[in-house]
Amino acid sequence: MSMAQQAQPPAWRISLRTEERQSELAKTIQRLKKNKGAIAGGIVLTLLVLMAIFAPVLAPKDPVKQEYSRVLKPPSRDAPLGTDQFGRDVLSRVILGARPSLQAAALAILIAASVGTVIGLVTGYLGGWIDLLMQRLIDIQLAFPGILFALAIVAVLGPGLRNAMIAVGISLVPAYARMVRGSVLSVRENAYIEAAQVMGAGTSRIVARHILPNVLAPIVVLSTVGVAWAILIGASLSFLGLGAQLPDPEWGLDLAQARDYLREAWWMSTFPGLAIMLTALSVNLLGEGLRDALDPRLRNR
Amino acid sequence: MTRYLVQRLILAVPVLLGVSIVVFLMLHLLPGDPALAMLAGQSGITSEDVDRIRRQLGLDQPLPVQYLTYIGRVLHGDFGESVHSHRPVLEMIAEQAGATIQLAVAAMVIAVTMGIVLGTISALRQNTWVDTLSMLVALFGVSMPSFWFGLILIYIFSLQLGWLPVTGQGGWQRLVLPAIALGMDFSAITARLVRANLLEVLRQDYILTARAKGLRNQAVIARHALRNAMIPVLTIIGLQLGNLLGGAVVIETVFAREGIGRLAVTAILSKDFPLVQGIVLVAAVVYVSINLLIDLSYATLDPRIRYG
Repeated sequence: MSMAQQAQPPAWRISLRTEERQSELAKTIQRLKKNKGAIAGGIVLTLLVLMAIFAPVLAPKDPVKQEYSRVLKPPSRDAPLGTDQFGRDVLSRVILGARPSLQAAALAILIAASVGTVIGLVTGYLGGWIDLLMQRLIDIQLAFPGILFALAIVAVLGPGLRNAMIAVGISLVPAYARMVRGSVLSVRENAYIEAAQVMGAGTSRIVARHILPNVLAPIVVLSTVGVAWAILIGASLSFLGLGAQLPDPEWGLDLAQARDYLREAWWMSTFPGLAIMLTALSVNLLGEGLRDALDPRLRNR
Repeated sequence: MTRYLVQRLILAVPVLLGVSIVVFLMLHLLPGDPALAMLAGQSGITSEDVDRIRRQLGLDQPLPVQYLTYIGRVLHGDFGESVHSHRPVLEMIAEQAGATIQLAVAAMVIAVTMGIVLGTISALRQNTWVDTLSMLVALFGVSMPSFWFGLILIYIFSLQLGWLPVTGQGGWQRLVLPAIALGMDFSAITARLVRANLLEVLRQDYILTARAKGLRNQAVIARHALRNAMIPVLTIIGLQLGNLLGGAVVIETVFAREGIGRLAVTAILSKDFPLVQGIVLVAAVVYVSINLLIDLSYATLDPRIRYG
């Protein structure tokens, strides 16, 4: 470690490297700008995040206030998206419902990306028994089909949106661990890693300075896809009564209630459903744009 | 081929053992006393009830002994009994399995058919409006929550048009809508995969050769291109089957159908842990077995895999 710190590269090399990185970033942004889908996705997602942040200010009514004088009313000037079976304002519930959905998805991806990346880096770079052990553990987790692992975790932790998201986060860890490990294995073979080793750089320095930056792109791409997945799964778990709990406004939970009023009140199911789809769609569009921009070779895949 | 088969079978054993340990530990990772947690919400609980459940679950034994007892019983087909209905767990699962298998198979058939058709059309008309439209449909497919799509189907086809019954069991009429809703994102994924693979394959030299020797376009597509583009699709079917089983949890609730998924949700909400454990274990074993079968069929299709 100390030797590596003493062996500073000459100043011109540092500047060249920063320039190269900047131009790589600039190129990526250039490519991203040309992708109309990604731009649209990015704009919609930004608006949704802003809506979530300023939700209490934007919502015209109290989302949990029940008004029995205006139960199941269709969209009107007073309630632009109608009211539900308790006379609650659907528009206000859709606006405030953005908060739990986005927060939950962010939490799940934070857990998955951080834990999965550390596991992937360690196992990919070190190899040996720790790699073998982790790979077998991941195999075991992947043996649980689909959302079943998340369901099992919710069964242990108990229903609730936070528990549901911890569950989703844990169930996404193998995806990151596998992908990062795969990337590390190929990056590790590069001459500059050998050079760093020869110069006496320690393991943690090599991993942090030379390997991590080179596997960041796939992590970013996987995270956008993961956010879309987490939003859909979070809404599904809430729909089943295993996530957010009444009377909190949450899109999946509101859809579960709307199911009983499908005939009488189409607006109750339409708008929370549209909100979920719009969020997932914008994240997916942005994610695909990012993937193409970061690695043009992957285009059309 | 036999060697490959044996190899794959041996590899599956530690995975299944690991799965059984995880499922076994589920009960012990519960915060607090599992026996008390299971009785929560019931009135008039005596300490005898708690002791009875503890004995029933073997919680008075050391952990490794408990696990060995558990795995021994499971291997004999004894998955314990439901805390609420007091019926054998395996019997309850077996009762519901048929409905879920029916739903999953129907969803898969619809999804694969739609996926291949959409994907092929898209690839053959690359960069035309047909391609853009079908890929847009696929993008909506992966972004739409399946339970909302299910509600839309019910609204249009059952409530407005009155063509199909809303919910429940029995007959193809009650299977169509849930199968479409369940297979939706799978068909979108298949369509995108088929398109990407087909575009890749169409660039290969052997396609050029086939065209050069004067084969008709249809023959080139059907016999040379599609066949080679299908191999990755087969793998994804195995992976997606897990998602179908998971998705059944939601779709069965939307359409108020019987099935394993609905049983799982009820079990979790009522804290019926022996039942939850049983369902999770059975689902994992089924999933691992199916993927094993897919691996083997994959090896039959592509000789490079079994000798590689």
